[in-house]
Amino acid sequence: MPETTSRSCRGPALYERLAVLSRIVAAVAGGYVLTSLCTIVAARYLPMGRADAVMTATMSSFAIFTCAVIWVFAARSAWRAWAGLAVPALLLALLLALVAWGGSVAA
Amino acid sequence: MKEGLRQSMAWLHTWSGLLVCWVLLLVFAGGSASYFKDEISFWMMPELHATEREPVPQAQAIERAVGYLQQQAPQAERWFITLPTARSTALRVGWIGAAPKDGPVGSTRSRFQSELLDARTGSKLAVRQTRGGEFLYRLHFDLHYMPVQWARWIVSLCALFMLVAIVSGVITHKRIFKDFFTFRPRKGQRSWLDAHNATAVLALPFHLMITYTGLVTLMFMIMPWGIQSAYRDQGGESAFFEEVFPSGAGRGKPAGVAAPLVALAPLAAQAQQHWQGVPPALVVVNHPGDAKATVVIRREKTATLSYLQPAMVFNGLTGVEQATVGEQPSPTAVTRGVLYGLHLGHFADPWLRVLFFLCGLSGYLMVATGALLWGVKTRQKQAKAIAQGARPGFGLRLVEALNLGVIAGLPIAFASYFWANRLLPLDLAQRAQMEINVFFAAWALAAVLAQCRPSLGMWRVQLGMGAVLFIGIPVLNILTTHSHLGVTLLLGRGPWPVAGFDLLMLALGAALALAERLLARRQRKPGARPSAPRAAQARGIEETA
Amino acid sequence: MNPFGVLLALGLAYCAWSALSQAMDRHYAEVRGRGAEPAPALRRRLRWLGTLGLLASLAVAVRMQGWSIGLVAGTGLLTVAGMLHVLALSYLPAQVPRLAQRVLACLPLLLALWMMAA
Repeated sequence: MPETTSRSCRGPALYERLAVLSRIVAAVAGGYVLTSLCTIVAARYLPMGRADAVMTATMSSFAIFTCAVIWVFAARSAWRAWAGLAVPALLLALLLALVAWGGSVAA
Repeated sequence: MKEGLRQSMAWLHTWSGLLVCWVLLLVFAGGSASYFKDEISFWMMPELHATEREPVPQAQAIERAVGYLQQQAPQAERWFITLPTARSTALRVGWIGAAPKDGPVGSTRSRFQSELLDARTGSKLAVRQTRGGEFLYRLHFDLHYMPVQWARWIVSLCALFMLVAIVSGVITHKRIFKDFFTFRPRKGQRSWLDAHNATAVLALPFHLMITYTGLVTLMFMIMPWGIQSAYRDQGGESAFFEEVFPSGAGRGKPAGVAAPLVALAPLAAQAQQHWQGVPPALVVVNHPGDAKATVVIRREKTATLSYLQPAMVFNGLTGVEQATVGEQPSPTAVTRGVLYGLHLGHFADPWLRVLFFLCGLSGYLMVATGALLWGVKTRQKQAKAIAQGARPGFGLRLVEALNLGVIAGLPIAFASYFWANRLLPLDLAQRAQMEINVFFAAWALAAVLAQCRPSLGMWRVQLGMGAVLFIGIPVLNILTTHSHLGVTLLLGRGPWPVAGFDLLMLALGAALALAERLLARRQRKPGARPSAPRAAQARGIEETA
Repeated sequence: MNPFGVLLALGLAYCAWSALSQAMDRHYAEVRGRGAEPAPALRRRLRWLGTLGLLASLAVAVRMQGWSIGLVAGTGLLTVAGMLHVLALSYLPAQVPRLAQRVLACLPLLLALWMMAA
């Protein structure tokens, strides 16, 4: 991680700092959003009683969040970090939207 | 990162740990003390030490409690009667005062009051006003001087950072098995790293468990979206909580019609019979004196990991059993109960409590050695510049000052709290809060001094001060009470929790004194290799040996 | 928990950790001198005994408190014994084998006392 200041011109150093900052945002905000989506989907669709599904989903959320954060900082680039969060998040959001749309059509 | 997994995890471990380490030190210190909060509270109320501790029959205790509550709080929204147990022999009553008819309702927490009663006579116990061990317990998640919600969010954030730090630490620790037993003292930076590894890896099951389960205790606050989305169309949050915590049932609106409350002692006896002899622990009366009153009786803990206990709900007028709740929790509810229970450690007998306490102290040392390691490493990086006259960087100065003020300052704060308990006048107004103010004032003084002069000399001063204060506690006990070590230990009259507390204070004081002596030796030989790592591990000797 | 049982479990765990550390080159050399290495047969034996010792310690804890609480308590005892052994290795390396032997010698007595008190 960039602890040594780059001796070359300021451009790359700034870029590195922005990359780190973007990872931090991805980890904290993106991680929380992805975890929340996972929790919502699991709470609704786990094959158990409603209260049980909610509890299981919520109890597991911290493991999911930790994995998301580890992923963000293990990914080879900041872009990959974001992609690794955004793709599952979008899929989950899509799933929720489809079910909501299907529900409103059927009603 | 192009540098590889281990390096990026090392960076993540450093920052997720360093940014929150000082809060974590407070959490570990308060949390470790919490394992003995009942014993601490008992020590802090010396008026109780001489009282006959023959157990009072349950029925009598309940009747006395009801008598007191009917006098003190006949219009209360809810009564609580906590029956005496083996660990906590006092009869505690509490009530939530009725909401004022006009003006803001305020939270139930703000209208809550509690008293300790003599189970034999039903009158208020003549004890000094003190929060006792409850303060140290609440401290580690409600902090202080701030709204509870803020504190819990701060602590939750720090716990999440800690979870990330644990996982990233394990990933980055290349030779976790090879280094399992490795501790090389007197080798500077290497020794700090070894100490950090040892206190972390040897107690890793505990650290992982306590962090995750701590998050679980606050999980509905941190991650409410599961409840929100699954219960959106069916009553929302309150519907979920009623389903999962049905003993909160019976709280509905009062009828507004006065009616006499049924006798509670027979209900408790009935409940005990239903539970095959396991006694009740808590009796809650909703809307006492109202036509819609209900009585909820919760069973005492049994030897299971899960903290869930079944409860029985009775009609407050007729005493007819209305429901039994929590008898057959689902596996998921039991899982949550176990996770919650593991954090509280309520199932622990005295020996296991000691083990948990030692692991908690190991957590304190783990965080402390980590923060100190960062300081040592960074100072070495800046060594050349500093030797040429430059000032240490802002980050380094801040971290070194915070390290001193918290690692050495917290023991001073804890000891001062116990000193205040013995020395503050008994009739002081707001005495309980004043004891707590002394805790923070002492800590603030230590922290400010640390900011002014974060030097080795100041480390010695503060460690030495901590040692003097801790060792002074049993001495203070001799001067101010009749239940000092001379009586409790040498004459063998007990009470044993009081003797144990005094002995622990001596042990902690001795450990701090040892640390101070090791630093003194290092100061006398300025060119020698730093031996401060021994101080941290030496504290480990006193606490684990 | 019965104090004899606790001491028995601690003792078993301590001996187990001693065996496991001595099966490692680094710590064997700390005791016997630089460059010393345990023979392959000895290394295998120490590892087996160490593992058995850990399991025996856990078994004592489970016997005292049941499976769920017992495993929690047993893990805590492993931790404390581990820390004691690390301190022994760091500050009394030459005494490590003798310490382990002395602790081992106490175990049968502790076992008898535990069984009588239970």
